[in-house]
Amino acid sequence: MWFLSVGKILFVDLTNGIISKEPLAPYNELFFGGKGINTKIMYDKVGPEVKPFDPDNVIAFGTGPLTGTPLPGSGKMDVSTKSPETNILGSAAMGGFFGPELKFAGYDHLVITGKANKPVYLYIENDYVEIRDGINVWGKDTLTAQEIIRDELNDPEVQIVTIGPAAEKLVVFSTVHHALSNTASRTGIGAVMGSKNLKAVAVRGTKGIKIAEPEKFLAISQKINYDIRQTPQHKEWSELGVTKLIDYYYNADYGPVNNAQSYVWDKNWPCSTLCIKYSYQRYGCFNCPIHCMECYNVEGVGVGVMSCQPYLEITSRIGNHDYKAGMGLMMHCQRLGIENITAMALTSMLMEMRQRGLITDKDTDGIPMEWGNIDSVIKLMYKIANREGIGNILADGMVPAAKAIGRGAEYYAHHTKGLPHYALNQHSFVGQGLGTAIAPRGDYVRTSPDLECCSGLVGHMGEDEQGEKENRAYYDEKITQVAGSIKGTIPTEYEGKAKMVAYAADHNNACDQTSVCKWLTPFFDMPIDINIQAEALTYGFGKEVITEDILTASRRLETLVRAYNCREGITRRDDNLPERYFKEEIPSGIYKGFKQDRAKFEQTLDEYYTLRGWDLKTGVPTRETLEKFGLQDVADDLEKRARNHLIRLT
Amino acid sequence: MYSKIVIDYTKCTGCRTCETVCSLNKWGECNPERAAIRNIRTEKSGLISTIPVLCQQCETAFCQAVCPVNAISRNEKTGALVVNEEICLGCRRCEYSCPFGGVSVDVVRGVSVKCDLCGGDPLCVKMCSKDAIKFVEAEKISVILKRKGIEKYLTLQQI
Repeated sequence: MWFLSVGKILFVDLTNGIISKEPLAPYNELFFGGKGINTKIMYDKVGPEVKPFDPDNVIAFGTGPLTGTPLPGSGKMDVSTKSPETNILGSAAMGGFFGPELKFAGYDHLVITGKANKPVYLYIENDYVEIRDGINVWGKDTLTAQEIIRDELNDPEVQIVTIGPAAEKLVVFSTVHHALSNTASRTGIGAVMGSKNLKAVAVRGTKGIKIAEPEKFLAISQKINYDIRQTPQHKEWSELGVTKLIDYYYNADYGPVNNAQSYVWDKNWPCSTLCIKYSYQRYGCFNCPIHCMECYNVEGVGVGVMSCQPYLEITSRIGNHDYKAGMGLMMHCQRLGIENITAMALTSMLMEMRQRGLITDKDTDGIPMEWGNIDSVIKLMYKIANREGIGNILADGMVPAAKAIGRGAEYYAHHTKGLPHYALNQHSFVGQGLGTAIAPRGDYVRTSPDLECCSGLVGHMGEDEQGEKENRAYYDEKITQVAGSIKGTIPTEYEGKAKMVAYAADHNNACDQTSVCKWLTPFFDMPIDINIQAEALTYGFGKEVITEDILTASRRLETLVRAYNCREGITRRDDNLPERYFKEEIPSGIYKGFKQDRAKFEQTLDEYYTLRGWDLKTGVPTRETLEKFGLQDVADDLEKRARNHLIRLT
Repeated sequence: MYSKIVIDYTKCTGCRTCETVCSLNKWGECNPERAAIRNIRTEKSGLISTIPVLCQQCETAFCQAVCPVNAISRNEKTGALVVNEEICLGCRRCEYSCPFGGVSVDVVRGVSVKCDLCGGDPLCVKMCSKDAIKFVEAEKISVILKRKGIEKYLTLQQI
């Protein structure tokens, strides 16, 4: 009898049309689920010999034991593959309703291999699984495709993930899209689906998720639901999503401007104003009391839902002060299935090169890449989606595009391991920089020491004098606890940052397995910490789970992902940041005059590697570390490759 | 004397918490298909509508009227229309007659399922983070709706 988890993995081989259902055990012995089990599947099945667009690449959709339950934030799932954008492990967390529906249908994980010989979509209804002709949906945008599939299946309740036209053309940063605005967005998982001729997966489930101790589980769900709604952040986020937070970011010089040339941008709440003026409804994911998304319906500009990071990407990064027009741009990106961060990073790279006279409009097919010219950016998005002209060069990703464009493009191409950076300050917030440098997929979404960001925001959140004092005291205490030093509160100081990054990563690797949206964890100062997850899992499984179990599984996941990437050839040399952050002093604002210090940065790398048990020279997890986490087979595998001179261990 | 569930569908965000806790509370499993309340979502061209639907606890109830074995009766304490599962045949007459889809036969147990207000303390009301589902004394509902009706006017006048 399975509790919480439903006990099955659905394997679909698109080449031969073979569908098989395997038990979840023993995958769930090392990891709780989600990204943990996905990574193990990836490690076992997709080695360095497999290229991202080979049929042998795998796409793993993974829910966690808490997915589909009433513990808040239970809509999340992980999607993993070998990324065509970075050629290492790609993974993205996706919210919404697809994960819960997959479990209601009776599957914890869906693993797709092979390649169909023509466009298809997968249809799962409980035990029934069919590979259906996708001719009616191939070529359609991400929203239209879902509407067509719902009609074709005559089922408005079916939950769908789909790719857009960009992924069909193998744009390496194309998304997997679900419902209105949920995505597995980064690392180009959409393109891998496109390479398999798989347009969409539609799932409908009517079975249940069994809970061992329903009353206790309900009680803790109720308590957490209540606690979340009492937090001071809840009122703001549930009305304004993250738009107010972004206003604070810009007050605190946390948002890069014009391709990170500076960090001083509009103040006085322009982002939250967009939300207040134009958003007609709040929207969110399964079982979430925060509902962080805005619904927009602005005639002639854009109709759809958005939230979070894109607000920074479509504004200051590309020098755009018109937030409404930026929203319209985002709607185009969503429908095309183009991932917004990489797209805007490439855009701002071109814009800066044009500003400096390194390229002309001829190089961008006559499209003037002027700062803030949204019409140009929209045109560029369609060029990318269709792989036309300059779009075809950009569609291969930042590293190949910078190489093809030349003329010094590499300096303006801000990425780590091939994945362009978030439009957030990694220049003078050195902890964010470290989090990016060591991040498994290339950006710091799971390794960002958010406490450093919070500390940098104190005094910029519209607090009065008393409020500022209280915030300062709160973060001083919290950070000193985690970092072991009060210097951890200062964005430009390196001391204590390695510990802060490890702390953040440990918590994110936990909720990525158990399935809690990290917005509801201490990452955002919310109550669902590892202790609560352990308690909920105990009631759900009917078997004791302690905090230590989750923490161990979390660190085991960090180690396994690192081992995967090292097997692909990643070394310490790749744990790096753009030259700009070390070379250029910030020209203005709060952090004027600051640039990163190479020696100190390298020292924080040493500190992080020591915390993790990775070799200081190569960054590869040592045998001792791997065996500590029960990954002896991985240690043996890496050693074998080292003997064959494929990688270096020390 | 009785309290009724009142839905403010402009506030609902479609999170489906109401469905999940209802089914977990009633049947010990998380299964929206077996919940007495259901979130009905419609997505079209980038627009979204999400509306919770459940039994209206009608004053004159079709389900009660058409039941061939009189399995549906009014609970005196809560005012909810409640199905007597011992008698219920699972014949679906109530399902066909309800104009709201508020009652239907549970496929696992073969008897009709509908909202029974959780015996007087509805769980969905407590868990709805947007207060889109409220539990209000019946006599007070009228003025609340009228006050809500003029909300836009008040905002315009900056009151």
